[in-house]
Amino acid sequence: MPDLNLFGESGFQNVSKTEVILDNTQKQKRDEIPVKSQKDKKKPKGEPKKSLTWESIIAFLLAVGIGASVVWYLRYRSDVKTTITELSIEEFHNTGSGSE
Amino acid sequence: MIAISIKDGQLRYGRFSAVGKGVELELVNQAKVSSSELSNIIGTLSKEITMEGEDIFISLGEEYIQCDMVSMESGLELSEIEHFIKWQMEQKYGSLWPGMKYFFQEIREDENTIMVAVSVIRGSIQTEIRTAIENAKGTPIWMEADIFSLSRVLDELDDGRKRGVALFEPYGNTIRALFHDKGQLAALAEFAITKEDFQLKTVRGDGEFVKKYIEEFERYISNNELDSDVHLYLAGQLPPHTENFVPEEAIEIMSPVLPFSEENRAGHFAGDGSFSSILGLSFRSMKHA
Repeated sequence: MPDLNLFGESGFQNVSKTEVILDNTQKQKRDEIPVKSQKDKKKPKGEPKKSLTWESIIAFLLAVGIGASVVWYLRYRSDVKTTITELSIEEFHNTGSGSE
Repeated sequence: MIAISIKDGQLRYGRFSAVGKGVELELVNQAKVSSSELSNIIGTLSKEITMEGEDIFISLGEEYIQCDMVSMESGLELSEIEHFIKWQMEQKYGSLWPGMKYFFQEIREDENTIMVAVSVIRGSIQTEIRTAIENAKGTPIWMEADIFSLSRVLDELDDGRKRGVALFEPYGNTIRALFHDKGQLAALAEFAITKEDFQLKTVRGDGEFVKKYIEEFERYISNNELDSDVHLYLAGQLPPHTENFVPEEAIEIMSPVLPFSEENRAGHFAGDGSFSSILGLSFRSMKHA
């Protein structure tokens, strides 16, 4: 049977399902509280985790590698001369192939 | 809690409180509405019955809230359903549509089709009522179409038997009817009362079910089979001449009964069927409590 509240949000309404979702959300929130507190208790103090250090090293090496590649590419590129000398028709004939 | 029903130029209201799993009525009354402005009606009512700190449940007739039952193929995404409903309502209301708010809910589903109940109200009316209640220092909790308050009562009357049941509410020379099939709202209809019979004028929802129900009910009347699966409740009174084609024993006249605790009038309030909307709202308030 319809259970539409015109004081509520317009559009689609499903009150019973909304109530179940709200109940479940509240229950979930209640369940989450002890889990959070356990995590807090186990949280190590002091030194950062070693895995983080390895990650930093790998990231650094990767960054250096990429930087070196870029430098090498720019240098290599600068070695390749791509200057084009245009000749006029007369100059062309003067320097011509000599076949004529 | 206060329940207010406004329809057909009549205002009915009741104040009740939650007692255990039920409600106890403390005050009930009806009056002719003196204005077409809902804010005036609520304002006048707040002088009769204090709304301060009360949860307000209100139902309005079709002159304020329009209802529809839309069928469509099953398996559609919610966004597709909403798109279809919006399109249908746009066609129906035309230039009035931009100022209206719509609410919908899926109420029935089978292999091929789903049926969606839709309520539409002008945004200005919604704001007007909310503001009027808040000005009277009440809390607007629930507002619904009157026909859906009656549907809740019909569901209660069927009491989980899941029969084919109908509720007839006479109004002038017409009858507003709602039909339940297997415990679910199936259709809203309107009949014209003529000298010889009732003539079906409009149906919203499952027209096939209404047709089957009428055939079954006619068979029930002619054979006087009291164990029929169909049942008819009446909220209000039919004109006397209708007894010729609908025997009185075929109809159960509704009389909403609620525990009543007003001083010197303790006992039960047994109003006529016209108070059914108040009863329907009180059932809704139980869910809220």
